[in-house]
Amino acid sequence: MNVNALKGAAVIAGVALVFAVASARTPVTAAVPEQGPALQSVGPLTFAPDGTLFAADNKAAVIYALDLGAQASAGKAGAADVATIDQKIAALLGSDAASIAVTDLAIHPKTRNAYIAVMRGAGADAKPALLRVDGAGQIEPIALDQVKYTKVALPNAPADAEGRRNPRTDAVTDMAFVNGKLIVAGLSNEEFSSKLRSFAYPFTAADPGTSVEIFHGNHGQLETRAPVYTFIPYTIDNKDYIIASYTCTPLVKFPVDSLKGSKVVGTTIAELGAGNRPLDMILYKKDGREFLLMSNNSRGVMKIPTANFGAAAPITARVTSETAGIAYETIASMKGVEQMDMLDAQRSIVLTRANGALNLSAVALP
Amino acid sequence: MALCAAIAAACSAASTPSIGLDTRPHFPVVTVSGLSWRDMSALTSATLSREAWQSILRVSVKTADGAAPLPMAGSYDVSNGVIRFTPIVPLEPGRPYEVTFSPAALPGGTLAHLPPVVRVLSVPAPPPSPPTIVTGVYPSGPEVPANLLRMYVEFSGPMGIRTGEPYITVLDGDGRDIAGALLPLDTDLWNPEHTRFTILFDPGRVKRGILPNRAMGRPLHPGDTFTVAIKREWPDAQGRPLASEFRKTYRVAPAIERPLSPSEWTFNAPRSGSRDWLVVTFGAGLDRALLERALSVERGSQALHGTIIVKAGEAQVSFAPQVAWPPGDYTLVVQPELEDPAGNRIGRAFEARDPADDTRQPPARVPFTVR
Repeated sequence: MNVNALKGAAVIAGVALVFAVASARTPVTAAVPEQGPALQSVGPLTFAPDGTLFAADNKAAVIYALDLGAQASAGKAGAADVATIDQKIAALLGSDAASIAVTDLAIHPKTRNAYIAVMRGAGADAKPALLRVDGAGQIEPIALDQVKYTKVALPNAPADAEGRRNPRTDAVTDMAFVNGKLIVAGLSNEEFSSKLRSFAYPFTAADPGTSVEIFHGNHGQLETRAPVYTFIPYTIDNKDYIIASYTCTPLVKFPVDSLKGSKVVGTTIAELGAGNRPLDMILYKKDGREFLLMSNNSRGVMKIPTANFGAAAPITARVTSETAGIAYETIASMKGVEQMDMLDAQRSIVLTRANGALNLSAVALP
Repeated sequence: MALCAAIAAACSAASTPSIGLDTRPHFPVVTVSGLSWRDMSALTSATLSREAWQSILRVSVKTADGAAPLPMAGSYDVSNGVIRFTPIVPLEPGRPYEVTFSPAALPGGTLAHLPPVVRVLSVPAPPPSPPTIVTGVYPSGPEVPANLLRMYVEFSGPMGIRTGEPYITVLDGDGRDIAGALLPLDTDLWNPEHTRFTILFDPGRVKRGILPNRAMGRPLHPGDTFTVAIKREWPDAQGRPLASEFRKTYRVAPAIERPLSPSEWTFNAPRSGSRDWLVVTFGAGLDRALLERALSVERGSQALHGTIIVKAGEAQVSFAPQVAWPPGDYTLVVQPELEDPAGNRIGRAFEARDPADDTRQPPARVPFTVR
């Protein structure tokens, strides 16, 4: 057989053989704090209640737990509005707004400062940066060389015997810290799967995390393996749940303690429509009622009452309407929301795009 | 020579400030040198806030319209007769930066006798390489099933960090955009080298019974054609557009809604004593990336090293061992994550009722004999 005649087809020597053995390898974990994380990329972000900032580095397939130290308390409490924040961040990072991509926004649980994860540049030399916006609207890049960290690697196959890197990657799409565990949603660039990974924190070298495949019962069939895109911890009758939104936008609940097994079947409680990517979720109370606020890339910001999350009947019948299950209200005043988090009991903080520019603003919860 | 000049300037009474670039690999530092020992001492003895430093030595992006953007963030230090500004992230190669040294801004006016200096400088851009092109899309055959879930785009060189969402469109037979066909993801679906990007069709539309499917139907219909178009504007690793737009047109075949069935695969076993190819034909194309890591050949419990070639629109693989085949019984081992481009796996179709956690299943083992 003339191999040259197959130009364009990948010729691989023993890749499959190596992979099957190597994929079970324990990931590298730095459980003892070190200083100066060498981030290759940054985002998504999430905070633990004590102010530990978890930052996913998707390029390196690592999650860092960052101790921001004195830099966390150096600004005025809160987060003030900043117009054209992309232009200002670009200037601080020596670039232009078109070269800035915001990858996440998270509010510090104690100072209520806004932390923004950014990639500067679109090429191979793109640089990650983390910035803090305080209550005076001051934007302060975090000096990462002064930050202490521990880290955990997302398990994946390493390079093969001939040094070729495994082309499979997992991109972290969302993270949340629940009762001492960091729960991570990811999306593979190869096989189609719907997995959540759970890491005990503080990270230990002995615990590479556990992976659970999440299914959701739905529509007379089982909608399996659609990836979870965003999720939020939620308590029903003193029991911890995850409320997850999938890339095909159903809203699904499942108990956190079920994440110990190999698979979990979640309960679909709402269908939120097609052609949509859920972005961020926050929970809040207003006038004695609780709501889930969810931003989306094409269906705007949805306000969903949570009162029936516990008792909601699972959607098992096929649905022909535009949406189904728990009803929601679209908040017309919140347009162009690209990032969202809870600022305080009355306000959310949002990054919105208007006339091409990105603006940070505090918005009263609807 | 330069060192002598620097020492001479530092030790002399008169200062002649000079702005430069210390081009350390990967992390250039902006410098101001040429100050006298006395003037340097005035700086080192002052306790300066960041704002005070920025008014003395300001580094900012040089804009075409002359606007004055915020100064770049970074740290300042004074040592060995040189003021150094280390930016929080490295200066972008090829981008002009305006550096302004304003000694009179030092509180107390101790350096007011020195002249201000302004210089525009930049880190050299790397030499241009040939423009990046799309070298292929997978499935590589002329036909795909109507429930196509995943494709790959391969490039001739590393691409940038942007995802494909703004740059990939799916067009119908009349050249019109098939709205909502692809999953609207901004997620990093690159391989580590950024030479392969994964395209996902919206699973909610592909899978029957899901609300988006009920509301909008599948984006692809058997008998039609469609075109995947990759826009030229997608930036490569050097931030440049592709050499040209790329298009590939497919015929749409009926959906494949049944599990992969290795018992239906055909094996063309090699002759013993030869290094001929084992040829396995699947009947329909499988996922290109997963084929490259989900298959192996074993004799007894020993994996054979060799070469695997994927061809025929991913409907066939050939395997040749490093050493000649001894006669005997062999096994093709198939890892459970193997899928076809519609997400069907061994023992379970994408359109399935049984939520068995199939990635934890043992690999499938398909025997064949070499005589």
